[in-house]
Amino acid sequence: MSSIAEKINTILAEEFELDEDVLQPGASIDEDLGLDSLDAVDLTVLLEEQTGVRVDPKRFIGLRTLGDIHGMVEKLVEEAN
Amino acid sequence: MSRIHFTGTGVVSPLGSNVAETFSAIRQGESGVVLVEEWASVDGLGTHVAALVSGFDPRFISRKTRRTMSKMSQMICQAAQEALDQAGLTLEELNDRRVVLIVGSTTPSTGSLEQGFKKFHDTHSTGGQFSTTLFKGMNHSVALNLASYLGFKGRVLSPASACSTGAQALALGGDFIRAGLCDIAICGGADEAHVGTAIAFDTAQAASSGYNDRPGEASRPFDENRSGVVVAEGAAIAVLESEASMQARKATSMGQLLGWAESCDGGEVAHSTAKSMEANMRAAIENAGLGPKDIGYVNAHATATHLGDRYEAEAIHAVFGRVPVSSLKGHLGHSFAPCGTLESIATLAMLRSGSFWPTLNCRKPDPELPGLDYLLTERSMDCPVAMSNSFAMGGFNVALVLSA
Repeated sequence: MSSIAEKINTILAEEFELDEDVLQPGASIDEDLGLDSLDAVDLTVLLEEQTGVRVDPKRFIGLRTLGDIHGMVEKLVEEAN
Repeated sequence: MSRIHFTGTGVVSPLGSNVAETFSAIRQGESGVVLVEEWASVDGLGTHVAALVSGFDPRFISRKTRRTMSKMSQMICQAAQEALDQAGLTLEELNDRRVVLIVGSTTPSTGSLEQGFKKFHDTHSTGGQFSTTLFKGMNHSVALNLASYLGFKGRVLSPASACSTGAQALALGGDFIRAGLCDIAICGGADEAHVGTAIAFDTAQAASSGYNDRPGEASRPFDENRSGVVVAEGAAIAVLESEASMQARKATSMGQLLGWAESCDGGEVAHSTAKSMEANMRAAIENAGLGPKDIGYVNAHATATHLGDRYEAEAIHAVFGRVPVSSLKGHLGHSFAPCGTLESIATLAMLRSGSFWPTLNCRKPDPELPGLDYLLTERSMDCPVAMSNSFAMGGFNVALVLSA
């Protein structure tokens, strides 16, 4: 797992109180993780605070799984570098 | 006229996470006031003490429901849960019955707004703003969050009159039930402490500053050496219910709301005058269909300010003469929005037990105050009916007449 994916999972576990067992790449964002658009905004704020990576919350639109979130943020980091 | 009963009560206070803990601590003469080191470091701030709710665990509320809540909303959920459990009302029942929810706070969450504005001032951008701040920072944040927690789908009102909010909620609930608009009213208030409140009262020369080295002695209503308001926090909820509804549900009465009155001084904004306080107390007694001689105890608003205590004592004396009086702000400080509900619940407990609690730290009543029967120790009395007063900025007056 990339460091970005690990960081996202740590935020989801610590700030969104999600069980680490459910933090699987195939986990559905809404059904398995119970996250919605408000959570997406707050996840981006925490991600930027803790990693410096800035993510437009609109990029969450259309994502279905935790793996999709990991991939989207990893791609942003790659592009920035 | 249908009788109105209290069928459930709930409290979160600096002295306990429920009614029983809080009242047990009061009867043991405990103070919830502590030194706040952060406040002691603020240049120019004279008040360094507050009555804070410590060790509160909000995780009984699901993360998704809790994310839009600051501490005041979390505390009112716990108080409401206690009150509804005691009333024997399930969450499902709330939507099947004619229920109105009436809860408010003095301000929205100042700390949550502060964080958002600080980020804005630091960056002059929209960056870093949490989506959930909005729901903590509205005037009806406590009401919307409690309704969300309860899954409540009925009518919700959110009164906001600072120190009289909790009493005003009960008066509104009484109005709704008496008018036949509902059978059950869930009434109360909540507030959370913030340095901004301390600064505001300090600036107005109304905050306690003389006992920072002895926090437990800082809040001393009616005492000759009183020093001003001690900022506090907490939540309180009372379930009011028509007698017909209570009997149909086979619920238990914890006491009655016999009458009430609300008025505004309409001139003084910093405090009510003795004249308008007196008129309001008389109106509440009349509303209950009683006379001043029927009231055997007054639970005073008395926040330990020099003028506020004096005006209230003068008004009480004008109405009742030498009546037994005490204020619970010596134990609990001034929690603002919840205090009127909490003090009504406490007054009912005193009426039921026949034992009336003193004003903590009132060692020697101010000789400049009129000759009331200031309770300096707990006293057993044959007293079936009492009054609870609340007063607020803007000259708001609320008086409630209560019986066991």
